[in-house]
Amino acid sequence: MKSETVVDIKDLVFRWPRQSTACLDLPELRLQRGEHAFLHGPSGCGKSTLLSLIGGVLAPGNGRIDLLGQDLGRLRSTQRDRLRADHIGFVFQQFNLVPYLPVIDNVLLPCRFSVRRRERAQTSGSSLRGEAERLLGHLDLARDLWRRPATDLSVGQQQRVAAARALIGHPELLIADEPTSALDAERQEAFLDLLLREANAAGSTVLFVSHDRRLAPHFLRDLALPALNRAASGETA
Amino acid sequence: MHTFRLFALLLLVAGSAALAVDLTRVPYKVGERLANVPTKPATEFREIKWDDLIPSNWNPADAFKDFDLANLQDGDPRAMDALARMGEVWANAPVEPSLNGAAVRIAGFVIPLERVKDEVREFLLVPYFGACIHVPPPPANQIIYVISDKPLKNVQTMDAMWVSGILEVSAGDSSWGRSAYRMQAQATAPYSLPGNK
Amino acid sequence: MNYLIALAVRSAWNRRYTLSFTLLSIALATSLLVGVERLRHDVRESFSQSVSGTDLVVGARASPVQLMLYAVFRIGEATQNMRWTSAQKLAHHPAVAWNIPLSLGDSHHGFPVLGTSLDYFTYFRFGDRQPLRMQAGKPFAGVFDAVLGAEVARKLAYQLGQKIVLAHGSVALEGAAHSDKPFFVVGILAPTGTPVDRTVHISLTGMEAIHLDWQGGAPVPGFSIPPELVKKFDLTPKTITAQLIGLKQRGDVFAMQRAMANDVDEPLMGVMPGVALDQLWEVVGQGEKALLLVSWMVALVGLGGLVAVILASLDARRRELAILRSVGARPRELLLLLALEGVSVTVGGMVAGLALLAALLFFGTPWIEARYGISLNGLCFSGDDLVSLATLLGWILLAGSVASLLPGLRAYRLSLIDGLSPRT
Repeated sequence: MKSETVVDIKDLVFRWPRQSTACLDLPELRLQRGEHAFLHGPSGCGKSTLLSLIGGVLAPGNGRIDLLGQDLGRLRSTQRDRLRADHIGFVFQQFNLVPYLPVIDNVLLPCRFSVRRRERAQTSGSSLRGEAERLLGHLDLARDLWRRPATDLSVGQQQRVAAARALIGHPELLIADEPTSALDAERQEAFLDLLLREANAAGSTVLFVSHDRRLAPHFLRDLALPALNRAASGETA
Repeated sequence: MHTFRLFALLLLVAGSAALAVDLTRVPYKVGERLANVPTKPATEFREIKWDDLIPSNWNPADAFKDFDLANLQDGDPRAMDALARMGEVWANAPVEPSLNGAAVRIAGFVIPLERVKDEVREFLLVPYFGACIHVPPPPANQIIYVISDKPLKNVQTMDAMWVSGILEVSAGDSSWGRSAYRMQAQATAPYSLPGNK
Repeated sequence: MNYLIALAVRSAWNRRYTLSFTLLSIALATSLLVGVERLRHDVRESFSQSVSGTDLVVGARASPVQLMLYAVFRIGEATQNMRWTSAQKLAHHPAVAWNIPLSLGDSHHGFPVLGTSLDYFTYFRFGDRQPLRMQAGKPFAGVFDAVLGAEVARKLAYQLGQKIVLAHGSVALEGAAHSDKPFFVVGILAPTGTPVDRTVHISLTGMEAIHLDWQGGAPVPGFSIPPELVKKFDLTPKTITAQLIGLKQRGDVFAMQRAMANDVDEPLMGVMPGVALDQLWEVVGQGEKALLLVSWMVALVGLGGLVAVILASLDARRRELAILRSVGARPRELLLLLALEGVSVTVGGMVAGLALLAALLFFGTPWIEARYGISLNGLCFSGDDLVSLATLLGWILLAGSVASLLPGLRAYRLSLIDGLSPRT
């Protein structure tokens, strides 16, 4: 059973090991299912750190982060890795793909590391490959590209492959860290539309991080990290 | 990280060392005899020593019994004669007939005779290290010609071994008059000193 | 785990050009190590096969190993001769059961010529007490009869009745041939896998006959005795190279050695074949150990190169590690991934090395057999051999795995430090 709240943060304080002051101090942040959120702020304000915390790569210091009802602070690192594999898909700004794998194998990567995602990818009746091909097709990637090595594709095409990979197996959360920043202006909106459409179809909630405020209207929620982050006031990070 | 690298390096060195070093040969000195080691009592085989192979009434130094060496003149031919006679007695050393058919166990140094692939089926057993190679050979009653039921593997000249089997005494059919010991060996085992080497 | 292996192999394959050099050095090291092991074993076996049931090899006093090598294996430096009279004395000694005189020095197309008696065909044993068998014809009877070893007949395509000319010395020089006194093939021996196969056998009288009109190693100019008139001369040899002796009682061997050494007419050396071979191996063994050590050094260098190449590439791959972490790979799995890359190159190198060795053996074996009479078993291993081969390969694999852990550990550290956002 999935809970309605995807991410629930309470009184989170995070400090990097060699820093004297906290990097993040968030009293509250909550994300419900279907609430695609746009997270923005200037560079260096702690966006990537927050993503790493939600993604279970970093352990929270004080306070609580709940991911789909699980308290990340109480889990061991291997358990957090498992949670991430099972429930979260990532899209980065660039260099999203493993260069020595063909496109289709890149899309299938999460299914190799998570049994849950592999099973969920296959429930739509088709095989794993079939599901990957379906997603690629929906993301406007031509069939002749599927077997090609990832490095053969343009940046825009690579980002769409990354989106397919993030979505396969219907993860509950999709974290996109500046995914359009390397794309041309015309492509940015198109990519965003595709991403949100497929996320809705997969039942995934998108947490979209960017410094480009022009994209904000596409999202239900608009979160300004410097406003939420008590540690940001008066500090230069 | 440093300890790990050190460990890996040690592992590699150990591997090459193990292959390069010959671990099994015990260094004996020429003429050295095997010490009498208390061993597990063999069930059927009676343990004997090399002296047991010499008949009790044989004394090669007999020729010198009545000699008074101190009072001989220098170069006296009788001294050389006695020495020559002793040499002959030594060469015609008799065997102890009572040992014929005895089931015995004795330790000695191996001189392989027949080697097929890596197996030795026939060998000579001698009482001291370096026999025939560095020092004069032992008399005939201190050599055993052994044929082993189970071939020995990985054995080299002058390895020390325990040999158990049935001893045979042959009178020597040639006009050379030599008699000899033969053994049909049923079991062999490497000889090892406990602890102190 | 399966997927990590597939990923590792793919990653290594993707960088095959840079990795191929390290793979080559691992292949070379493997070939060396396995090859040396194979050679050691086969040479020992081949030598110990060559003589069986012989108690003593008798010759003029010199180096026992040299006598063995020359008289039995027919390679190496020629030794001093011993007198025929001494040989006869030994032949009639009460303790001696049989004897085979050997006379070497001539050659035929690179194959050594052996002068011996008919007792050779009766008493000579090889391998596991096996006697010689004829595959065609019979032993020599006439002065100019020759019996060929199996390899000689095969290589030169000789049949029974073939006329052959022997050359003086081990290399055929102009004018050094005994062309006025040809021999005729009357028998061909069955293959033995020993130096017998590449020997041309003639009688001692034949050996004397061709040197009748030679003095001091060269033919006397203008003086030639035709073959028909040879019998008018006394064809008893004056000296022979060596004599093989079998005793009635094997335990007499030491006493015989002493008797020979103390003989007043001509002190001789009696070599026990097994003992002499063991002495030879002890000396050779030192060289072998050195060779083995060098081979391991080559392996270490190859593995060092492998580690260096993979480590060097790691910095550029931090992005890739972050991607893998983002899809759920644990740092431990990344360690495994990098380590498996190294292992896959090691395994690839080992396979290539074995293939290289197999090819070398395939082409080299006939040459070695023809030249030295040593038969190699190729890459066939069985029984104990297989165990030692497996152990050797296991050590190489272990070394490769341990070395591969180094980049693995670095990847582990990096992925922990970088998380999802490496500083590239």
